[in-house]
This record gives sequence, structure tokens and C-alpha cells, in this order.
Amino acid sequence: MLIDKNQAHDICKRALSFAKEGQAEVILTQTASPLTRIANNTIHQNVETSDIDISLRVDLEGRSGRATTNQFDDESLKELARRSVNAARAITSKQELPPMMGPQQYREIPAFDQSSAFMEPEQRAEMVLKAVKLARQEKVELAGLVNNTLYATAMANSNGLFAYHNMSTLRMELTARSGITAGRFAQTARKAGEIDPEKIAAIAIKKCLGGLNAKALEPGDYTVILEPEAVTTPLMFLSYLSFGALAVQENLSCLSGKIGQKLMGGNITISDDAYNPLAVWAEPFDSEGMPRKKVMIIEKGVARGPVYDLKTAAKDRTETTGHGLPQPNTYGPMPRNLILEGGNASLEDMIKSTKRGVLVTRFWYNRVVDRKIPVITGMTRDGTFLIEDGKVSCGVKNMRFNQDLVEFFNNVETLGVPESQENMVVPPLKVNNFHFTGLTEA
Amino acid sequence: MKDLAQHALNVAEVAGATYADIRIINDESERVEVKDGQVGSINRGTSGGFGIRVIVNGAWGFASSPKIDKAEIERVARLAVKVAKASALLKVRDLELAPVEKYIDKYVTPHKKNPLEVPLEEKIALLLKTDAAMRQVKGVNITESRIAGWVEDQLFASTIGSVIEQRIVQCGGGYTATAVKDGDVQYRSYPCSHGGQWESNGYEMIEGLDFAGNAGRTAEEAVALLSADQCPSGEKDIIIEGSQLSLQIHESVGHPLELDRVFGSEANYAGTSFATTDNLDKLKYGSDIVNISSDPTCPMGLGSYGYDDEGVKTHKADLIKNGLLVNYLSSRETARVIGKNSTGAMRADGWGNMPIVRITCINLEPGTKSTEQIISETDDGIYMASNKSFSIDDRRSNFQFGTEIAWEIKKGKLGRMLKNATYTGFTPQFWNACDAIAGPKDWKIWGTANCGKGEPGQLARTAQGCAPSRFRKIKVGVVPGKK
Repeated sequence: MLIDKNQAHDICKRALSFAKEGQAEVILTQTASPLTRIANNTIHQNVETSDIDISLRVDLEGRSGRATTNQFDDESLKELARRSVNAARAITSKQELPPMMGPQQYREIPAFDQSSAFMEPEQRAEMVLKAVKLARQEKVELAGLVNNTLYATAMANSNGLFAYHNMSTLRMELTARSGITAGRFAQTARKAGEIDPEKIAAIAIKKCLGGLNAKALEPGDYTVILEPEAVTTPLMFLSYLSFGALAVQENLSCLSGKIGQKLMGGNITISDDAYNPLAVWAEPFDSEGMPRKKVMIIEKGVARGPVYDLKTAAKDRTETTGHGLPQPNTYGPMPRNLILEGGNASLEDMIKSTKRGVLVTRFWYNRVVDRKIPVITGMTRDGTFLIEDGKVSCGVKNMRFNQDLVEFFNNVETLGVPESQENMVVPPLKVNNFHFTGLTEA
Repeated sequence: MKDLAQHALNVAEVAGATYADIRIINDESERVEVKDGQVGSINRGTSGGFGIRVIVNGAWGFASSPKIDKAEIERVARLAVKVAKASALLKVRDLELAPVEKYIDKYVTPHKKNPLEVPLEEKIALLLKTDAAMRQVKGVNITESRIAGWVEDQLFASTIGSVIEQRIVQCGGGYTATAVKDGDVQYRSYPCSHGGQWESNGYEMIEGLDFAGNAGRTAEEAVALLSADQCPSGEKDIIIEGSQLSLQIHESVGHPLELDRVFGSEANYAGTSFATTDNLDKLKYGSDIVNISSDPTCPMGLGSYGYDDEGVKTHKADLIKNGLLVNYLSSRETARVIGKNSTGAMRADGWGNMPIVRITCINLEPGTKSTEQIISETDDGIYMASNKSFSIDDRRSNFQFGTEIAWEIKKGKLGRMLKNATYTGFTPQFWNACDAIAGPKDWKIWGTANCGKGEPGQLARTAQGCAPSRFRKIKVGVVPGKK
């Protein structure tokens, strides 16, 4: 059952009515995420879950308290307000608090579709059945999931601001396995009919079978061709390590002191844009109720600037870009919909143009090794192949990398056609001198 | 509540369930953060609801809801049955469960002070005092600290007749000082990294940590790291301090021994395991001195509880005995496959998720020497402390860890401070290279507050007990291009 705009407005209004002191703000979030999970060609976990959270912030003369609950009867909301006020009162010195804004105008993002919002467990089971049938024919085992998500969020405050947005998605991920060899493919779509279980299974199975008897490569610097799911990894790390204004202000970001300077390759343009039609998971406002703006972060390799919330914008005497998290917080703003501008090349073109390189499906267990540069480590997984003389020649064992991300975006040789990766839009990339530093056993 | 729980089980059975259980939960939490001399945020949260798990036609179904009343419980019980029937469309065989006894019991985590009843003012004052002590150190740029507490009240009931009430009280906290200079960022944490130390315990654990007393030293180390030498590259004998070794145990022993992932249940996400069941009672996982057990009865462990989330009473179970793999972390379903009883490791994140096999408290038994003695018996090595980065492959074999700080060991003595220390290896080779474990005096149980696994993603709180230990000839300094 979706909480619609009117119902959300009523709940927010009721929550605010119990906060009788200072200024108050309420954020409501509804998530229903039924999921069918498979392993070894059978369903091993099948769940119907849903929840609604209400978070209330109360500001009392420079002191801010927040409380959350998932119960929204009057008694629970009264208690919510009492806890928020008590938290604010417990603070002995003033905080630097961003102001609560008045009503805003939002650009609509059509992100809801009945077909993905509401699915029966039998429909998900049918999708799995189609995939498993192929897997059994090829004598491989599938693991993965089918997950339809319904999401609604609303925000209101005592200055008259009210915002509401809803969305839905359907995601299918499949990993085909034969012994220790695996291949993977995943898709997310707004409309259920846009997901093709047999296509996803066929790609995952092909990768798995193509990777059998993988050979070990010597660690070293390689040209890599990254499929879009792999490209999300370096972007995701830049997103939270470097592209928010607080990280820049604290001198922790690779953008710190570099705004206006050439930082990455001239072929790299990165923006944050919730309105890109390929961004499946996108909202028109942030957790301060501010409209999201398109922000140019890297333009033809030149650092243009981070994303802002109200607090960091005030410090830099600029305007928020609508990328705030619930306030007050210690993390600062963060991009939500990174768009890496692409080119015209197909993945096949990139493979053809490569004398010797490594094709990567995705990266796994990626972590920060050095905060500032930044350097991250991780491993390839679920389909890693050697390219020789313009062709995929064989599967190779997964490898560990340690990679400077600024160097990475200076070494991009070719960009392919961008595609949707949930909240991001990214192309496949061909990148030179990628640092593989070790081997794994699979 | 007990009547509602019983009603849910009845509805599920009438709808066709051959087994059902229900967990009705109320979670309360509080988090206080201070950053750079100011209260950063305060959040007090409550979350209530119930989850019903059923077996119908030999397959699992699960449904949950935040609304706890009779009508909703009936709807959700029937929905769980409908979900299970859909699961059964693909089953290869009916699932079977290892036996469990019927329990009617109550369990409360041992604690003195409920962390949620300690006044916020007291926590804020402690954090501000700690923050001020860190900021007195010249060269420190960013200071962050936090205290958090959780109290979970759970009622579990199942169709075998168990009715178990549990109250799990947990808390913890810690802080970090960050120093930034000339493009270098270094930080030190207390009492350990990733938010601090966490226990199933009362607020007395925070009082025992002496936050303010350790703040100056922590901040000074962060600044000193900026001018420390880079960790050298090569093969070295390394001594790993407790909180770092805790994470090593978590990643390279706990996760690979989760029997559901051994069977492939996590193949699409958290991965599988090199420690497949054909290795049981055969694989020399570690050297003879390596003994590791699962023990959720262990006092103060963040993975301590009375019963797991399918009603199995907690008990100690050997996992690695004298270096040999002898058992796994298991559930009733997975244990049945290897002909054993569950080790009681089935745990869910709150009321809204289906339980999966999780790390409990897994403890490396102490040795006999002191940490000082082990250092004095090391000719050329590195002492590494406080995790900075952690990464391990999807079969839990190849790993790379980085630590916040390290010191060179030369001829039995700690020497110069080293920054950006990293080490890498393969799980069984690494544990077989363990030749010294410090004794009970240096043994401590460390908490991991945010272990992720499962789809939909679930967080679990786990613990690993250990003492500083030495590993021979480990590859260190593995990040290229660092100046």
C-alpha cells in the first residue's frame, strides 16, 4: 500500500503539531522491498517486507535534537516530539545549524510505475524459473535475486515547506556459477516488462562458461576495459570521499585547492544530475527539502566544484545545490546521481582496439587505502577475461588492485555509450595502466 | 504479546505451514556525536514490528510488518504462507531442520546501567571534554567522537512450543583525531577504529574506557604519523594488535565458516567460501596453536545472546581445534546438511528481516606469553595496530589489510613509527604462519557494530576475542605509488 501525497501530508502535519517549541522538520520514508533470492538454482529466501519511518528534528535556539520512529499513532508521535525536544535541551552550547527553509518549487521526476511497485511472489518466481531453466540446460548454477521496490518520501517543516516524491524499481541480478568460476549480469528498470530474465541469465551463463579454466596473470599494470557496473566503483568512492563540499572545506578531498585546475583527463566530464532520464533511482529534493540542481563537478578534466548543502554553502558564500543529508550531521553533502559523460564506442569496439588487456565485469570489497589522493583497493569478480589481439582469449583469475582514482581518470583512453546503473549513469571505459597488485585463487 | 504470537502461529498452521516462528521486536537506539568542539547530531530511534517465518510445501516464506495488531498479524501470517508456496515452485527437495529443544525462558544481557537511561547531558559532557583534549594538540585538524546504545526487546515463539523473551543491551563508542598536511591525511582512533569499541554491556563499559585520559596521546599520534616513515615493502614477521586481529578473525575465519555461504547462499553478494565441507576435519586452517570457537555465551561480546533467532540456546562450539577445521557457524537448516546440530548462529537484523547465519562471538584462545615477550623475541618485524582498510576476496582467501599505525621492531625492541602500513596474504597460509599468541592478560573481546551480509542487506553486531599475535614472513607494504 503506497502512502500517497495527501496521506503523507496528513502524517507530516500531525507529527509537526506535537512539536510545540522552536522550529520543527519531519521526514517520512516508506519502503516496501519484496525480494526473491535464489542460490543453487532454487529459491532459498523469499520475503515480503515494508516499513515507514518518521524522523522529527526540533531546533530550539541553536540546539537541535532528532528522534525517529516507525509508529505513527498520536501517542507515538507525541513521544517522538518529546524525545526530539529533550535531545535539543540536553545540548549545552550552540550548534551551527542550517536554517529550515520555506516552501520550494520542485521539478517532477516521473519515477513510479505500478508494474514494478506491486508484484506478487508468483511473478518473481516465474522470472526466476525462466532463468533457472536456461541454467539447468547449461549445467551451471544460478544465484541472485529479483527485487521490486516501492519507495515514497515526504518532508515538511514548521516554515510551510512540503515535498513529496515516490518511485519504484525492479531489479534482477544473476550470478552463474560452475565450480569456482562465476559470471554475472544485472539490470534495474522502472517498468517490469523491461527486465528480461532470459537475457540476464544468458549473459551471466556465457561469462561463467567463458571463464572456465581461468589462467593466472602476473600482477602489474594493465589496460583494462571496465563494464558499466565496474565503472560505478571509482565514481562511488569519489562521490563520498571528494565530491561533497565539506570534504573540500576540510582539505580531505582531491578537489581541495584544485577548483578551476585541470585534475583529470580532458575526456572526463562528471556531473550530478537527478533529472537525467537514465538515472533510475532519483529524487527531486534533498533531506533539507531543497530542490536538486544539476552540478558540473569535473568538466573536460577541470575541477569545477563540489555539491553543497545549506551549511557548507553558507561557509563558501554560495547556494546549496540540493545535496544535503538530514541535518544536523557530521558528514556534509554528497552527490546522489553521478553522470559520467560517455562517447560512441561500444564494448566490442574497445575490445577490438586492445592488443593486450583485461576485461572486468565488476569490482568487489573495495575500500579506501589513502583518503586524500584517494587510493582504493578491491578485487575483480564474476567475469574477468584476458584480451589478446582484439579478442577475448580466455578467463583469468581474479586480481586485486590498488588504484589512485585521480590517476585512473587521467588514464581513460576510450569512453563508451552511457547506460543506467541504478542511481548513476556511466559508460564502459577503456583505461590504461591500471594497477593490479595481487592474485586471488578464484 | 504472547497471545498475538500464538495466534500468528495458529493462523500460519491453518493456512498450511508445517513449521512457523514469529519474532515481535521493539528496538530502541540512541546516538550522540561531537565534531570539532560542537555537538554534531543526536538521534533517538525506536522501531517496532514483527516477522513471521514459515515452511510450507518444504520451502521458506517470510513476511513482516511494523503494525502490531491482531488483524495485521493474521494478514502477514497468510502472506508468509503465500510467499512460501511461491518458493516451493522451484524447490529441489523439502528442506529439513536439525532438531532443537523447546524452551520457555527469559534472557537479559548482563549489564548495570541501561545506556538509554543515562542522561544525554552526561554523554555530551564526556564527548565535549574528550574533544577539547584532542584539540589541544597542535596540528590536529578534525576531531570526531560518538557514543551509541541499543536495547532490543524480543519475543520469539515457534510451533514447537518455544516462547523466549530476550533483552539485548549493547553500547559503545570511540573517537578519532585527524591531521592534514601537505596532501597527507593521517588519523588515529581510540579505543579502536571504525567508530570505537562496542559490547553487549551497560554504560559502565563507556565509563571504563577513560575517553578523556587517552585523547591527548591519540591526537599526538595522528600528528606524528604525518612525519613518520612509510611502511617498507617486503616479507616481515608482523605482530598484530588485538583490535586489528579481531577484524582479521572476522573476515578470514568468521565469514568463511558461515555455513550458508559455504553452501552458496551468498554467491551473488557476500560470496562463497574456500572452506568447503569436504575440508571438514581435514583442512589445516592454522598452526597447532590456533584454537577458535563460536561462543555467544561469552560475557560482553557484541555477538552475545541467550538464544539465536530460531530459538537455539547458545553454547560454545569449537570451529578450529589445534589448527584443524572442525565445525562451522550454522543454522538448523545448514547444520542438518552436515549431520550436526546448529551452533546457534542464526540472526536477523531487527524485526523486518529473515534470519541468516551470522558471526557470533568467535574467539581465538589466548596463548601463554606476554605481548612484550613476543616483541622481545622478534628480530626484524613490524607491530601493526588499529584497522584502516580491509578487503578480502569473495571466497575469503586473498586479503589485504591496512592499519592506522605501525612500529618497526628491530632486535626485540619497538623502533620508529611507520605510516600507511599494509599486509596481504591467503587465509590458511596466514593462519599457519601464526607462531605466538599473547596470554589471557592481553586478551580482549572486540566488537564489530556494522557487519553487512544478505540481500536485502542486513547489519549484524558481532565480536571477536583475541590477544596480540605474531605471524611469520608476511608480505607488507603492498600499495604501489605511495610516497
